[in-house]
Amino acid sequence: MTPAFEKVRQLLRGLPGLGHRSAERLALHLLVERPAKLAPLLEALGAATRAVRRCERCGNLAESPACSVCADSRRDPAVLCVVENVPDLMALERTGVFRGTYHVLHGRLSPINGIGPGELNLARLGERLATEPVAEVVLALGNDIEGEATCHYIRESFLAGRMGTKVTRIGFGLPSGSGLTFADAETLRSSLEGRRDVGG
Amino acid sequence: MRLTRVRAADFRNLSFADVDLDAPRVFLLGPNGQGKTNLLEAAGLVTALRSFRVTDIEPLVRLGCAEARVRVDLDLGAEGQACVEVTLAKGARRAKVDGTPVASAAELVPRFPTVVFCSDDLRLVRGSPGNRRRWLDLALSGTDPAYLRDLRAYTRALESRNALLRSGQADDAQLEALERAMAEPAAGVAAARAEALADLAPHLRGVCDLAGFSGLAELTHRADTPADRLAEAWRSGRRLDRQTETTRHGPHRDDFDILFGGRDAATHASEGQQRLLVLALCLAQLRRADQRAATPPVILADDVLGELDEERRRAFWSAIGDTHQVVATGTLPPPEGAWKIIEVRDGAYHPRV
Repeated sequence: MTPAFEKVRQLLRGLPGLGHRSAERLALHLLVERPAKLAPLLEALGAATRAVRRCERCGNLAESPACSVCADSRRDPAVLCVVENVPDLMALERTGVFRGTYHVLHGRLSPINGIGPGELNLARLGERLATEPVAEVVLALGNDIEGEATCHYIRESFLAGRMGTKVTRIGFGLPSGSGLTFADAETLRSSLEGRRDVGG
Repeated sequence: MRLTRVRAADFRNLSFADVDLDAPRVFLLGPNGQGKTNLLEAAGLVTALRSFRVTDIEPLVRLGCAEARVRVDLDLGAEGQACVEVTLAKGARRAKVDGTPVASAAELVPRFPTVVFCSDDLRLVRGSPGNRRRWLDLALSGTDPAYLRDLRAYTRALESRNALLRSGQADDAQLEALERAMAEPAAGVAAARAEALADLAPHLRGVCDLAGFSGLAELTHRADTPADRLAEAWRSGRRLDRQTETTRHGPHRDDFDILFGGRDAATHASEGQQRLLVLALCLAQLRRADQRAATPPVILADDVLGELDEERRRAFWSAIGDTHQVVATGTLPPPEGAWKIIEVRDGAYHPRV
């Protein structure tokens, strides 16, 4: 290996999801096998670095002060969905079901990893709750300990004593199209706890 | 259930091992430090992906290797065969059953039950509360998936709270948020422990009757703080917790008393009585596990009889009966009986013919 190649491999190795071998494969692919792909990629990365920023309102990816969700006047400002990161927002958007707006925390409280409230996009959430006509806050965070703690923190710090705002948590349960038999006990418990009245 | 074959790669100091265990009673025989316990430990991973010796993954992966792999073939009687593959890497435990990934370790617990008897168990009587908690955690994790889940969640939350206390930025709001998240798993852990000890007590008395010291042994759970007062204990303890940089209250400080003739066994029972008491606890644990498991658990007995005389060893194995597969280790050959003996030397396993 040449020193220059090794440097590229090292840098790729530092990216999330890439192990030693995949980093090597990518480096080989771009530098040796398909060098023609490199120039457009570099150009796109450069352009994106200049253009992409955080939406000033919700923290989503944007190329103007407001992201595509916030700029869409058909979205309902009364329902605010709090998510941990941009991929979570994208996953919810793909369902096409949610018509409110989002707030991206860019992480969750994790003292083990040194993530406190100051590291999260929480101050802006406080401002939004103070100025926007929010009637419902949907906490769409994971149901592990750190997700739970983050939900409690948001409720206590921003929503306690706030009359007229409904606070909800997304349901946790069975994947669609699957039966009960093969679900693990934890999922079944969550779906029992999250059962709802269907009348009758 | 029966373990039929265990293969391990880069596990502990084993680069590779492939051992046929297909017999009702298997004895791994050899001097100390040859790899007997390592194999038992690898086999025990099938129940909850937990080692019965350590909580961290790191010591389980061979030095200089990225991951350890263990593959256990099982005979499930009427349900046929199964193969559990476990991969341990830094910070990750993964398992596949017959090639299908398993979502959580708790899923494995009811399917592949094992009961571990461990040579360290004498510390149950004389050791610190930590030894007793660890024993109870291991016994319960092998029988109660809900316990395993609550214990993991509580441990993670506790580590978070301690990290926050150490960071010097532990404001009330963040502590409150974590304490709320901790409360439910903490209550689950405490309730399951108290229930398990209450379950074990009659079994222990039964076994003690058999051994001839009737009605003398008792177990009582000693919770550090009752579950319904934990939230208050955490809240009012925040100032001191910040100074000591640790969470001073909770189920991680629980203990249980082993009473012998109404008094603490650690100080009021002879060494011989303590040894027998520990074996009685093992048998009580087995009887409780039998009641809860759909299939008889496999017994993994790590040098549990130590220097006990021949007669007592024979009595112990006959008390276990023959419904369970037993995989045992020891430095002395087992008493006569139908044991498949595997000699262990330098991490190599040779069946004696």
